[in-house]
Amino acid sequence: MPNETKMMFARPKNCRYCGHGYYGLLHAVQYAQAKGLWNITDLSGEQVNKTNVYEAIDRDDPFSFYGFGHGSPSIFTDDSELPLFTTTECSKLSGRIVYLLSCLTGQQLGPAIIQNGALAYAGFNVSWTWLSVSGTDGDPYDDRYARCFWESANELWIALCDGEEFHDAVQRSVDKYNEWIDYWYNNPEDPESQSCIMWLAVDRDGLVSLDACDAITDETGCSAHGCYWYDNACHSSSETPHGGGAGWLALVPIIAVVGITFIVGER
Amino acid sequence: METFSPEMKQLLLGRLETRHNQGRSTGIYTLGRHYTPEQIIEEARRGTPEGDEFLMAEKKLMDELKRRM
Repeated sequence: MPNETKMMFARPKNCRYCGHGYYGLLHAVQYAQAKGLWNITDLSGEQVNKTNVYEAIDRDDPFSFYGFGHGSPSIFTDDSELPLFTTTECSKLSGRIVYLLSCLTGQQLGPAIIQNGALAYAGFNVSWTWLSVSGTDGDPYDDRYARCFWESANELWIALCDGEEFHDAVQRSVDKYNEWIDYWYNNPEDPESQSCIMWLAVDRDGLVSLDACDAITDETGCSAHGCYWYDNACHSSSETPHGGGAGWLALVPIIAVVGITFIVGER
Repeated sequence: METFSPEMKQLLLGRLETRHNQGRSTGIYTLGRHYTPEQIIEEARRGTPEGDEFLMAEKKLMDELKRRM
């Protein structure tokens, strides 16, 4: 049974274009540390390989996992771009809340993670894309264009740290993307405003969230797991049209990141 | 992924090209691959899978701007 006081981050640095993610996720790490509610395992750079990550999961049994890295529909990779989790090897995430900030894992790996017993998964079914005029090393929050993308992505984890339920945290991330789209809409004089709007919208609409209820296909099993059967499908309480009370997914946070795409300003 | 009619593809491609000609486009890196603004337009012209993704993104921009007008 995962430990609700444990949270884990995976921040590779040496994979292609991973510098921004390495520093970008540090904001989420620091936010969680400042809350003082969790024992945090922060694997970074070369530490992010399968051996270390699996050992840390076995040792610390974190309730939540936030990772960033490269991804494909079925694979999430490590610091060396070697597979960390795949559709056939993701059972280590069972019982946990998982956020993978990467490309495409929402297509196959995300559903596989849920089918292997994770409480919840968030990730992307598109190539997660961002703009930058300062390259991809250093803190993306210091880049005029990169900041809006990383801040929007991190918002999901920030919301979990604030005590939001999983689906509300996902919505807060969507709201943050929209907030930034509004910002760029109101700053049309910036030459990259439309590019920012375009790729923020792509990332926002590519955000996929799944929870354990989504993997249940029969009504009896649905209610037995505290989910709600509606319109011939199983839903978590916070998704139902009835509003629902405090769902069983009163989740504590974690994020794991998968694959990455970004845009660098050409000058 | 959403598919577009030839007419819609032409419209979206035209928007991409116009913004590029105005100096308002960027290069892109995706999963280790780098696309310059010129390559983005070339992929879109050729109708490659990546090019179709760029057109889809352009459509999203169009919809997003329309929604806010």
